[in-house]
Amino acid sequence: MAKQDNDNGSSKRAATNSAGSTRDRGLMPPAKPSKIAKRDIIKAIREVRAMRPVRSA
Amino acid sequence: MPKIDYPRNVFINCPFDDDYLPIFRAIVFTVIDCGYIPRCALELEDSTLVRIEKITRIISECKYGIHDISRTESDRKTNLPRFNMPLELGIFLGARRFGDKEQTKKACLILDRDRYRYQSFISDIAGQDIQSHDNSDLEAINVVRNWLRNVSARSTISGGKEIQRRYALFKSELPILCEKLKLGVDEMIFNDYTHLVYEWLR
Repeated sequence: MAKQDNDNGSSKRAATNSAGSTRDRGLMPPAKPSKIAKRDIIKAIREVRAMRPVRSA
Repeated sequence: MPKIDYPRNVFINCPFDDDYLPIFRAIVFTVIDCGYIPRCALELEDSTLVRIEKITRIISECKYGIHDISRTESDRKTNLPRFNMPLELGIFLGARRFGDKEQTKKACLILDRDRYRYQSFISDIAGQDIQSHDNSDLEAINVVRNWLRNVSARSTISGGKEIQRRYALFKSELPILCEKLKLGVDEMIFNDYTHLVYEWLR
C-alpha cells in the first residue's frame, strides 16, 4: 500500500455550495486556465441553480 | 506560472474517444470533488511540444496516477492493440522506481473493465492496485473515490454515494450550463470542463 501523505490543504470554504453541501472539502483550482471567462461560468451556474425546484419542508 | 502542487496532482491516463467520455468526465469530477487536481495530456495545446514530452512532464508533476487500460484491445482494422495507455503506465511506474525521492512517493490506480483481464496481456503489473469500473461511470466514481481515500490522509473526502449524487445533479444541469455558455455538451475542452466542475462544486 502506498505511503499516506498529509496533503490536506488550501482553498478553505464553508458556505453552501452549488452542490448543496456545506462541508469544507478543500477543493483545488484546475492546473490550467479555461477559455471561458470565470464570471461567465459563475453567472451560468447561478442561473441554473436558481432554476432548481424548491424543496418543500 | 503557478507553483506545481505535486501532492495534489492526479495524472489521468485514459482513452479520449467519445465512447469513453462518460467515464472520463466522471473520473475528472471525482478527482476535483475529492480535493485533487486532474491532469492529462488534453490540458496542453502547445503543438511545439512532442506528445511524449508533454506526457512525461505532466507525469513528473503528479504524485498520483489513474491509468485505464480497458481499451487495450485489438483494433478492428489493424488487428493490433492500442498501447498508449500501457506505455504511459510504464513511464509512471518507471518514474516511481528510478526517480528522485519525490517521484518514489508516487501511487497509482489501474482501471480495467474486468479486474483480472490484465493477466492475459500485461501480467507483469500484478501486485499493483488494479480495479474494475465495469464500464460504468458511477462505478468509476466509487473506485476512484475509495482509492483516493485510501492513499491520502485527507479526511474531507465525501462518501461514494454522495459524490455520485452530486455528479448526477451536475450531469443533469450540464446541458443547460453549456447552452448558457453557448457551447455544445460534447465540444467542451478539458480545461473548460475542469473549471466548470470546480466552480459548480464550490
